[in-house]
Amino acid sequence: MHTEITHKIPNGKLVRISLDYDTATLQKAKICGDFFIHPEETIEEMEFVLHHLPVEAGEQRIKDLLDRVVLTKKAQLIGVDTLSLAKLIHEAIYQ
Amino acid sequence: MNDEILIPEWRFIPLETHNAALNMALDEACAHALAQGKVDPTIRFYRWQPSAVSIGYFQSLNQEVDIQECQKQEVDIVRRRTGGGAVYHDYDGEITYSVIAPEKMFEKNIVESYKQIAQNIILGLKKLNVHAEFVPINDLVVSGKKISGNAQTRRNGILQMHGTILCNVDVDKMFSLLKVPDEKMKGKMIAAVKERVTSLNHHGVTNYQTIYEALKHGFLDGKKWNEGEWSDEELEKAEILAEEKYGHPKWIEMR
Repeated sequence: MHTEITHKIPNGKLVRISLDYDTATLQKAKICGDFFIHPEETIEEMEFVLHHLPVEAGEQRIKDLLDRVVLTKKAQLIGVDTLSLAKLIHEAIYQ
Repeated sequence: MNDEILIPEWRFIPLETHNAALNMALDEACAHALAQGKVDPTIRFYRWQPSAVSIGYFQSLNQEVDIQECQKQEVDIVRRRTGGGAVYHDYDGEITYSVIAPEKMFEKNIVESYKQIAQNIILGLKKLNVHAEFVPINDLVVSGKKISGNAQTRRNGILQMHGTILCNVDVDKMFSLLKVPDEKMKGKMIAAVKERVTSLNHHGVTNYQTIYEALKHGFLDGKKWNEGEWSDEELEKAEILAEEKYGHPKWIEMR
């Protein structure tokens, strides 16, 4: 299954999430938009850790996974944040 | 300590015109050479020929750009190595700058550094009697309407920030090339953007050379600088990057 969601973060940037998933897990996650993340390649890592995430994973678990990447890469997010991304990913699965 | 050492000397590359891939490649080649201590911090101005759409690093090409329409109108497409949004770089409609310098010369806080560099544009526009202000995260507005968008990346201790100043915006043409999140709302969105965006011609400034000279002063006044040119090494690196990265579908279609 495929789903997409677009959301403008208040006081932030536009985020567009695209997900491919089956009944059990996420197969592919794409996080796009006009935000800024330094260093830029952090995004590929954030998308990678979402692969095979159980679809029933809650917002907090998604946020924790993304936060771990941000911490490891010492990344700075501008116009976007991991809580908003986690909420959107969760919402995309259940919309 | 000798004061001379403390004052950075800037290299200024005067206005030049290239295609989209080479424009982006020159920014990266310059940042690479600067990281190796081979060139001075650099300020450059450039135009895009053919006119081009650039998309931010994180944007999806297919979601943002009408590729067929770009081909039809002979408009280049390139992905930037900086984040931010899709921009239509009309040859006659805007002027682009880049600042490439050691990170330590600027505020550590990224949004503060946007503001810091934006002051150069504000000073330049002031010389044209156009009063702009910085609006976080990365925009400049005149009377509440956007006139400039900017984007930066930081790698290997080097900050690279580029941005456009709108001289003569054509919103209809821009939206013939860009997609919007909801195609059904396209008409309304174009009308809204026309209300939210401005360009220097709306403020009585129409001469491109005058705009360039004013911005040049805005960026260089008070700095120690020399007019320079690209090194052979930068040009060679840029040619390779233009062909193998910025002009290559693998990069352009990456997301």
